[in-house]
Amino acid sequence: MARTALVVDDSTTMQEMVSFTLSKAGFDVTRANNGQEALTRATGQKFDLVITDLNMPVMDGLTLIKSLRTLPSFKFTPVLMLTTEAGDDRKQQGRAAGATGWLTKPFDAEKLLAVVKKVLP
Amino acid sequence: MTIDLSRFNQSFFEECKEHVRVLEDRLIELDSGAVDQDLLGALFRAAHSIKGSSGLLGFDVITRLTHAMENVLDGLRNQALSPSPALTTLLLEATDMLSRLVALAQDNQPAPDVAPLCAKLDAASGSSGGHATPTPAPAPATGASSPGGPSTWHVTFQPQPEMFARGQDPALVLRELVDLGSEAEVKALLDGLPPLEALDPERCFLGWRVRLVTTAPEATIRDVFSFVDDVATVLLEREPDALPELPDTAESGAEARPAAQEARAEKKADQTLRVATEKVDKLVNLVGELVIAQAMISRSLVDFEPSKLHTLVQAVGDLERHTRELQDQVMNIRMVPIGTIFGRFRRLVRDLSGSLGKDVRLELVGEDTELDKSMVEHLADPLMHLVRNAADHGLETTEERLAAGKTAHGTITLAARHQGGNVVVDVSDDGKGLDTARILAKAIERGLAAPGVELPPERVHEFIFAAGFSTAQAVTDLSGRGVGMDVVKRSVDGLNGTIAITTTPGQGTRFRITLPLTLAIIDGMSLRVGGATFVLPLNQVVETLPLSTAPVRSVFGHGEVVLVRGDPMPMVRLSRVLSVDDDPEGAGRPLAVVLETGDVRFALRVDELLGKAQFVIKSLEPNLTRPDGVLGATIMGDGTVALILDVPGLARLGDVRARADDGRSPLSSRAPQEVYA
Amino acid sequence: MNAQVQPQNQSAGPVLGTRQFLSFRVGSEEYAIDILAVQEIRGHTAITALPQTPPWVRGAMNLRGVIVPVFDMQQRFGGGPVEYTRFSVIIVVSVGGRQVGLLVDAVNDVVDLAPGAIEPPPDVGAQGSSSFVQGLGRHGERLLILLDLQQVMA
Repeated sequence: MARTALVVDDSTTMQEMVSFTLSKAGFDVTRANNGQEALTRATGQKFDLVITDLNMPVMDGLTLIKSLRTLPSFKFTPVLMLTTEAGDDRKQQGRAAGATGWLTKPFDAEKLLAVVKKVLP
Repeated sequence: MTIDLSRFNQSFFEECKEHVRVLEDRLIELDSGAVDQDLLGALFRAAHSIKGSSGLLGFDVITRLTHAMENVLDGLRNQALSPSPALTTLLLEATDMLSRLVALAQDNQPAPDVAPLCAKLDAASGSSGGHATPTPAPAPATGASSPGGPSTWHVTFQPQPEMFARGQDPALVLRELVDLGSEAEVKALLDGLPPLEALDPERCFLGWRVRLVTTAPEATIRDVFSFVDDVATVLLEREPDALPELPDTAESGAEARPAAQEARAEKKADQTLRVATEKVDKLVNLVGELVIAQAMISRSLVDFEPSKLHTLVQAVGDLERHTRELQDQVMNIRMVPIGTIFGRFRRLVRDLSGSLGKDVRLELVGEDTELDKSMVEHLADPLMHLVRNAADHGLETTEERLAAGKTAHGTITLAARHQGGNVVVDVSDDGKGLDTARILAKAIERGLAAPGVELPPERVHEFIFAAGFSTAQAVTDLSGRGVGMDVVKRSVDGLNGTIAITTTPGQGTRFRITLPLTLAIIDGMSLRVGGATFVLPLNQVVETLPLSTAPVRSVFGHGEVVLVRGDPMPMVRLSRVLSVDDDPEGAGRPLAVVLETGDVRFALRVDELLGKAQFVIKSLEPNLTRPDGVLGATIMGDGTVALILDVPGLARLGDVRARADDGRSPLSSRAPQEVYA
Repeated sequence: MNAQVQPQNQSAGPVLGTRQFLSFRVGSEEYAIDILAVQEIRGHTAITALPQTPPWVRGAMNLRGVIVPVFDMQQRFGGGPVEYTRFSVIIVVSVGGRQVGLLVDAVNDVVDLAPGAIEPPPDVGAQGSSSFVQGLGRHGERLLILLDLQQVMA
C-alpha cells in the first residue's frame, strides 16, 4: 500500500512542487490550502507524513501542528514544517508545538526527499 | 531524482496574478483608515507567498522585489511603521512593477532593474537591503572529508522519554548515523529502563552508544541530530589517535573547522558568552570539591551509626558551602565588565565634540566593574542618552566656559563601581548645572507643580524625568529626538534600579544610577504573613526588629508607626495594602522589617522570618497583570509559587512617601537627608 | 459562531466544519471549550493567592517554571468558590499568547460538534455570565454550554 502524505500550503506553486516530488517518490498525496482544511482532512484519515507551511490564512501551521498532536492518530506522526528563513525562533516555536523537523525554503526535490528520509522509514 | 522545475512556472504565474490582485485591491484600504490585522496579514502573505515560490523557481528579481515589499508590510503588521499615503503610493508602485515582472517572465523577457525601487522600499522599512539574493541552499556536505582520512568517533545518543511525542524515531537517527561510517558498532544503553510494570510504550527509555569510523566532518555528524538535539543528549568524542600530530591542537582544530560550521558559530555569537579561562578553572575546581564532599557523605552513610553523626553533619555542611560557591561562580559567568559598552562612548563624545563645536573630553573610571550581561546591554541606551544630554545641554560653549573662568574643555565622566550588592554608575559633567528656576517654571506651566509652593531643589530636579519634559529651548538634533529623560528613568526602573540627580550651579551635574548586580536572581529574605510566603529583596532590607522591643502607635489619620529606638517610623501591614491576613493579634512573635527605597524608610509587619536565600525572579506577565506592590514571583524549593514584594510599590500603597512630603506628618519635621544619611 | 472557510472537496469523514470541544463540569452544568485552546489538563496543584485581583482569580500556579493564574470558573460565572479538593482539575488554556488555568470540578470528554448541532446563545439577560456563552451545543441527550474564552479571560 502506498504511503500517504498530507501537504499543507496556501501557495499553490509550493503545494504542487511538494506534492509532485512526493508522488514521484511513491506517496499518495492529499493537499490542503490551510491549517483548518488540513485538520478537517486529518480527522477523517490517518497520514504517514505531514508537511506544512507555517504562515497561512485561517489557521497557521503552528496551530495545526499543535492540534494534530492532540489527535490520537497523529501522536507519533512525523510532521515537517516549511520555513522561509533559517530563523531559530521559528524552529523553536515549531518544536514546542510538536514538529518533528523542518525544511528551509528554497529547496529542491533532492533536499526535500533527504529530509523526509530523516523522519520516515 | 531531478525535476524540471519549469513545469511549475505556469501555476506560479497564476498564483502571482492572484496575489497581485489582492495587493491592488486591498492596498487602497490602507488609506481609508480602516486598517486591521486581517488586512495587513493578507497583504503580507501575498508578498510572502510570491517570495517563497519565486525563490524556488529562480525568479530572483521577483524575489528581490517581494522581499523588500514584505519588509515594509511586516513593519506595518508589527506597527513598527504606520500607514501613510506616501507609503501606499510606494507599495502600489511596487505592485505595478511586480505585475510587469510577472508578465515579462511569462514571455521569457529579461527583467528591468528593480534596484532603485527596492532601495526606496528598504528605506521605508528601515532595513539594510542586504538581501539582494535569497540565501542559497547549503552545499551537500557529502563530498567534504577531513584531510587526515577517517576518524573514529564515539557518539552517545540519549533521547529524553518524550522524544516519541514529536514524531521522532531514534532508529532512523541511528540509521542515518551508521550510514555515514565505513564501520559502526551500536550498543544500547539500558540504564534508564524502568521495571516492566512501569514501562510506558509511548516513552523512550533507551540510549545508544555508537563507535563510528567515518571521513565525515563533525558538522555532518552533528547534522544527523539536528531535529532531535533538544529532546536528546548528544555527545561526540573523537578518538585522539585519529588526530594528526600537530603542535597546537586547539588552534589548528579551530582552523580546520568546516566553513559551514564557522558560519553557524558566527550567527550564534550574540547568544554566546566569552568566559575567561580563569573562571572556568574555578568552576572545575569547585565541581571537584563537590564530588569529594558527596563521596564523603556516601561513605559516612555506609555502616552508619550515631557516633558518626558529626562527620555526616560536617560533610553536609561542606556540600552546602560548595554548592553555594558553585552557584555564585556560575552566576559569575554571566558577569561582564561594563567597559564593553564604555568603549563606544569615546567615539560618541568625539563625534559630539565636532558637531556641537564644543571641546568635550571623556573620562572613564571603573571599566572593569562587572555586571550581568543582560544588564549591560540594557544599560547602553540610557547611558548613551545621558552622555548626549551632558554634552548638549550640560556643558557650556567654550566662550561661556572661559568667561566663567573654567577650562576651555568640558569633561564628562563615566564612572562605575560596586557598592554593597549594587552597581553604581555615575554620569557627571563639569558644566553649568541644572537651572532649578527654569525647571520649576516649566513644571508649573505643565501642571506638574502648583505655583507658589516651596519645593526643595532635589524635588524640582526630579521633574525632568516626567514624560515629555524638556527644557531645551530649541530642540537640537542631538538630544531632542523625542527620547527624553523619562525614557532613561523607565529603562533604569525596568532594570530594578534607581536614578538620582546631584547638581551644583556653575559646577556641574551628576546622574547616579544604582542597579542590582543581576537581573534574574536576587538575594532575598523569605518571610511569612498569615498563611502566605513572600520574598523581600535583601538589598532593601535595613534591619529586622521583634515588635516586642519596638512599640507600635496609631497616629490618627496616618495609620501606624513603630518606634525604632524611640524614633517613629511608618509601619505598613500587608493585611492593609495587599489584603493578606496577618496572624491574629497576640499570637506568635511578629517582627518589623525596616525597608529602604530611594529616600523613604518604613517598616513592614511580618509574622515570621523564614530565611535568606537567592531567588529566581519569574515574570507574571503576560499571563497576568502585575499587581501593585508585587515585583514578580519565584518558585520555592517545594515547587510552590511565592510573590516577591516590590518595596517602592508597598511604600506607595502604604502612602508612606506622601506622608514624608506633605508637611503635616509627624515625620516631616526632619528633612529626608538628615533622616536617611 | 463565526463561519469557517470550508474545504472545497471533502473526502469521506466527519460533517463539514465539525469542531472538537473539551467538555467539563462546574457545579451542575456542563460546559465546553474549543479543544484547540487547550494546552494541558492538570490535577491538584498548589495555588498561591494573588493580592489585588478579582475574586475569581484563585491565585497562581507553577507550570514548569512559568507562573500561570488560575481562574475559579464557578466564581467567574458569578457563583460561590469551587471547593478545591484532591480531585479538582485545572484546564490550562492558551488564548492570544496568554496562559490561564481554569479550575473546574471535573473534565468529561472530547465531543465532536457539527455546525448544525450548535445553537446561538439564549437571550437570558438576567445572569451576568451570559456574555461568556458563545452558543449551546447538542450532543445526543447532552446540552453543552460553549464558552467564549476571550470573554472568560478578559
